[in-house]
Amino acid sequence: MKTIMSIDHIRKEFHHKVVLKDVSFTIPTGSIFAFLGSNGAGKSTLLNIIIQILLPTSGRIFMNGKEVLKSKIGVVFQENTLDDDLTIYENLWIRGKLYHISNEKLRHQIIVLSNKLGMASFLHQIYKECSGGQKRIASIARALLMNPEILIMDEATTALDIETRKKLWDFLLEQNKLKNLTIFFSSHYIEEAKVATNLCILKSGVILFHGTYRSLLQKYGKKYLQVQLKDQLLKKEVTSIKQSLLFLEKLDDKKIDTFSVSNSDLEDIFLKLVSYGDISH
Amino acid sequence: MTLVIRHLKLYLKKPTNIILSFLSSGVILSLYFLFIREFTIKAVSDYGFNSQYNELFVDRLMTSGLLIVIGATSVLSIMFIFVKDRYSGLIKDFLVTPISDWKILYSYFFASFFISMMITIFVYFGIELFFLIHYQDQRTVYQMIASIFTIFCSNMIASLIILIIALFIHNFTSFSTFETLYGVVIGFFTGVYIPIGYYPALIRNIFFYFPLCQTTSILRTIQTGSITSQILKNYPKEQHHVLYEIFGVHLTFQNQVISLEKQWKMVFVAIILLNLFLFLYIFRKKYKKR
Repeated sequence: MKTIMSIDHIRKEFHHKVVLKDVSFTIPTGSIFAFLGSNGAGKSTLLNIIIQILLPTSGRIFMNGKEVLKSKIGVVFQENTLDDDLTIYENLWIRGKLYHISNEKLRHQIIVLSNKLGMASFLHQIYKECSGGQKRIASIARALLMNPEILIMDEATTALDIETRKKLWDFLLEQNKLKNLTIFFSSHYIEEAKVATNLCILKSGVILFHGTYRSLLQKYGKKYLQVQLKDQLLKKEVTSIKQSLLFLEKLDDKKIDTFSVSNSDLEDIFLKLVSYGDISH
Repeated sequence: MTLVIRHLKLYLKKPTNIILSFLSSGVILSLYFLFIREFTIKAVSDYGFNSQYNELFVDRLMTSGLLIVIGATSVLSIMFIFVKDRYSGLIKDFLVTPISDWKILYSYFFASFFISMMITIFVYFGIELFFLIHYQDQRTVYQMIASIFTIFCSNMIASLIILIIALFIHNFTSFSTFETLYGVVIGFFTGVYIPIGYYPALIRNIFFYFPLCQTTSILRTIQTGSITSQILKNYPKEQHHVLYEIFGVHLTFQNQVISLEKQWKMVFVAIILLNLFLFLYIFRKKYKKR
């Protein structure tokens, strides 16, 4: 699989405190890459290194095997970084010009993004008068102005309602499919990571897991048999359906209300990983 | 250029910014006419100079200082945008673009310099109109160009100084406090509120190193040149230095009068040093990122 970005032995120290310890992984082209970790894990530091706001103490980052090009990276910050007193159109225009996009092309790009993201009704509205959702949509439009190859989002959907979050993700997934846009994001919402094709879990500056969602489930996922009895709920870790049936046979039929076999979800695995480290054994 | 336009747009979006800029210029001029003018005219007479040109001399002298102060204070509003951008994290949105750190930093300098020039030049021509109507006194084209060039250099220095100071201020409250202090102190530093010759020698020697003190003196020399010669024509040469030095037309350092040529050299050196400081700051910041 082609790689858009290689994070190669990144180490970062702040005042002799190590924040990232030899972090290495690759981001496949066209992937949706979730970058997870609890607060203070070093996520934002690594994101800032990728977007070149910070330089690493050691290690390098390559984009398509070469130096990272700022013009190929779209960034959505957690906080709103557009000008309060300008309209969304003016904001997008100024940001677009910083990428040296020609007037005609920029005008066209703003209209296209405005239509796709449903911004037409508030495109000429003063930014500070827009709702939180509208501001986020504008931030995504700003990040996509120059048709980036990779979109980096740092907890970009924090404080958004479910409807707006879903709308944004629908649009981003469409861009991923249509334009092969690589999306690299960190999020507080574990359920958002379920759309990801690739995952990286960071704890105290160290990578605990890096791979596909499927490989994560294969490595750390477990099956659970859950039995609702008349007077209590039983939950048992099982290795197969056969083992579940054997367990059920031992119970009194009349006492069982319902039963189900399910896989552990991402939230379970994430919590266990960041709490106990390697849980594969 | 785009960023300069962005800063100017933000400044112009708020009509209060423009109104307050001109209002503060008006307030400074009014305060002079109300409280300082009579005192200074009397001081000139007290030193034994009795001429019909005394009032014109004092008005020219003081308005020159006020023009420097107006230029120096009008750079603050754009620098406030700079502090706000850094404090709110908005500047990150520029740092992720292909625009270099240099261009980002200097965009604030150019925008503040542009605004201060617009305001100062407007006030300058207003003042010239006042002298034409009230005294029928008119500067030559050469003197006008020289005055505007002095204001140009002075505002450039003021923008650079405030930009450097703003680099070390990370929140609005500190910057607002600084603005208040700066507004008060700058008048004393340039000898607008009290003629520079009234200060103790030590203070004079310290203020001497403040570049805007030099530009004020240069502008005063240009603006009062023909008037002082009219006042001094009936007085012996030994007495000339009193008028020049006490009222800050010429600056002295350790009892030596500094020539205009030396003053210009100091102004250019100040511009170079301030830019060098910015260069070193960015260089160090880049290195420090590691």
